[in-house]
Amino acid sequence: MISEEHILDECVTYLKNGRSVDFCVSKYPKISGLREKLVIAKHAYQISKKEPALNRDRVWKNVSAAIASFKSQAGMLAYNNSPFQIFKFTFSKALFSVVTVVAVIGLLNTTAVAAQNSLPGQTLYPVKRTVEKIELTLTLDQSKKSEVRLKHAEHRLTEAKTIVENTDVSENKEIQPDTAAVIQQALNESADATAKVAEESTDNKDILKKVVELTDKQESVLTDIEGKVSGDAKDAVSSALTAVSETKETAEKSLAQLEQNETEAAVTTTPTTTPQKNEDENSDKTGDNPDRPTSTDDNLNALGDLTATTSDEILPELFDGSASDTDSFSGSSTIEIIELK
Amino acid sequence: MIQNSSGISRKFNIDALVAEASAGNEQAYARLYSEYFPKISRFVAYRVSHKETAEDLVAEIFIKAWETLQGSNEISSFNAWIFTIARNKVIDHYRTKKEFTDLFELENLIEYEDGIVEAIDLDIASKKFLQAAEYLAPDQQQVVRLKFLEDLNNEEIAAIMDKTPGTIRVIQHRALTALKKYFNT
Repeated sequence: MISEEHILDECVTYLKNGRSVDFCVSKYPKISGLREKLVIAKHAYQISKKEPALNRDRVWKNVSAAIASFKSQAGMLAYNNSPFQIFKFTFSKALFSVVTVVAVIGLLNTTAVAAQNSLPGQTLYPVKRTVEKIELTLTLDQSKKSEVRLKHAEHRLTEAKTIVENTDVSENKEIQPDTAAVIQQALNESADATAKVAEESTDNKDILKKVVELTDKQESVLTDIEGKVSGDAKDAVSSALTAVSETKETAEKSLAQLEQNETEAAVTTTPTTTPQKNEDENSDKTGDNPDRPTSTDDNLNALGDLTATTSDEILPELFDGSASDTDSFSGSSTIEIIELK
Repeated sequence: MIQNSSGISRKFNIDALVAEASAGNEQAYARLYSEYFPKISRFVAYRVSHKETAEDLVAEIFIKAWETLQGSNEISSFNAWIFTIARNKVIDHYRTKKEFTDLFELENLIEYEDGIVEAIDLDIASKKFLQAAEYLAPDQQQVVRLKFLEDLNNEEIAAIMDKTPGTIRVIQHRALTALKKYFNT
């Protein structure tokens, strides 16, 4: 004997598939109250509902990239288990190496795009960090490597900022300690990486400019967080702020020094005392060539339009934004890979 | 599962796709994704109003499903299984946002963060139905919403509510009986 629950459920399924209430009632005429219940059910099915507009392709892109990453980590090459694939895998080591390198490079682009917005604790986050490590390993040029490190440092900063923005701090609530710890970890990594790049790049003007830019952003985020935490977390943020400010100051000084060195180098390379001229200059001691410059100030004036003679006058030009290069530090998903030889 | 010939063949197709996906076949998994994306995305989107967050959660559900499929010998019901993952992901999402002190409060997260009904399109009868539904017991309300508003089947509802399909049938019967009584009084 079928229970009333089963009969009702069966009839609800008929309704969902387009059958009428009368059809169901005629099939089970002895069930009391069946018609009224089915009328209610049919009406419920017909209530108009919002259709959520999630992007199916975007979601699949993320899923597909994660699958590719899992397969790459698992070392799976022969998905079809065909004999030909197994033959290639077993006997073509050179081909395997090339395929692996090409696959990894291709993987960097797709997975990086898919995982780049993930945050600590999310499923794709380990994929994001793995891709960053691979990117760094494959970048050979030291200057480019520093740029990549700064890019990753900015990722950590963005992650911290996003977590703060997503955290409910309404009604004077503070950020919870465990969330504050995650934020602090990201900020520490960002600050440490920036400081290291600054130390290693004292002779690279472009990198130093990027360091200064990034430390500005770090200061801004840390200042924002400082007002939202208390106790040990607040102390940690204050220490981080101090460290970031020191890095910025160091970078600015190195930059200023480089600029000064460049200016001085430009001055000393101007050919004012060639050996021939030196002989002439020696003979100038008697005052035979009054127009020939004989002092540093005279050399500068001889260059014509040069008005800035000290680093104090040069520095404002560097930081008025006209000389900064933000295009290559926009945090885009395009990965620069140095050509492998 | 719909008990007619097309429903039975559909189940066999799903089982075949699951078996192939378990062996690492991404094309098979892509077809499973196409099959389940509408329901899973609706389930998540009705509970997580921020679009990008909902999309990320849906991606995590399918990624988790793939990951677990690779290590499994047999999934008896992919339907129930993927909705269990979906339920847990939504609950985890809320756990990261707020603190909860008891399980009942957490389970009520199967409520909606955002209304799923197009309020401006509702006729009087629909409004009356929704008003009536509010007088149902919590589990009856849940079954009514999941079954009739979200179009899920008993197996899927059972996975979400952590009950058996048989219990869902019983709750459905009680809910419709209570609604009948409400409208007749």
